[in-house]
Amino acid sequence: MTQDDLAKKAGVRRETIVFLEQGKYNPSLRLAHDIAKVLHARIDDLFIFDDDVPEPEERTILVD
Amino acid sequence: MTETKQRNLFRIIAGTLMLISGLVSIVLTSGEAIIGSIFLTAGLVFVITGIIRHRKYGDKTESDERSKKIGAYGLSYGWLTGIFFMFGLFWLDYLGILRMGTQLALALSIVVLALSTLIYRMYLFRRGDVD
Repeated sequence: MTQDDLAKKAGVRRETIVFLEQGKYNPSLRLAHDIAKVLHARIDDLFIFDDDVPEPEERTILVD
Repeated sequence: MTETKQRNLFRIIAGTLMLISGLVSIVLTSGEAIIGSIFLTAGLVFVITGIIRHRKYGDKTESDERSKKIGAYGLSYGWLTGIFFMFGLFWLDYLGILRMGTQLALALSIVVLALSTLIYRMYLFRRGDVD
């Protein structure tokens, strides 16, 4: 799918898709939902925030 | 018919009607042609922008959440710049540093308002977002 196709299906301009891909534009929830719907994906899979940190692993502390 | 095509079609039709009104007005009022000229000019602008926008965007989306957001922010920043400019003009006049007539002051303020809005919008569009 081209940027143009995605833009048409999501109802936005092609420039918006370009800036989204470059990470320079934060979409509204509505737009994020529409794009996810067009791509048959989840919003979480498409949009990742920089400050997303992985869950800490469980650690076992041995005490003598 | 898509919304974009409809909007541009209405723009072209309105422009054509204004053009015709302007021409008729100029022909009928042989003495004064000011109103006719205004209609003519406005009609031309409508028709030309309608044709340009149709060729540029066609069926594609003309405005979306991003362009509306940037447009609104550009307008707000432009107005803020205009207010500061007018504030500066007031103080320059009050302190006797620079005196200018009402016409010139208003004209300058309009230019600053319009230009600054355009510049802010261009900058924000290139940047991508307002944040």
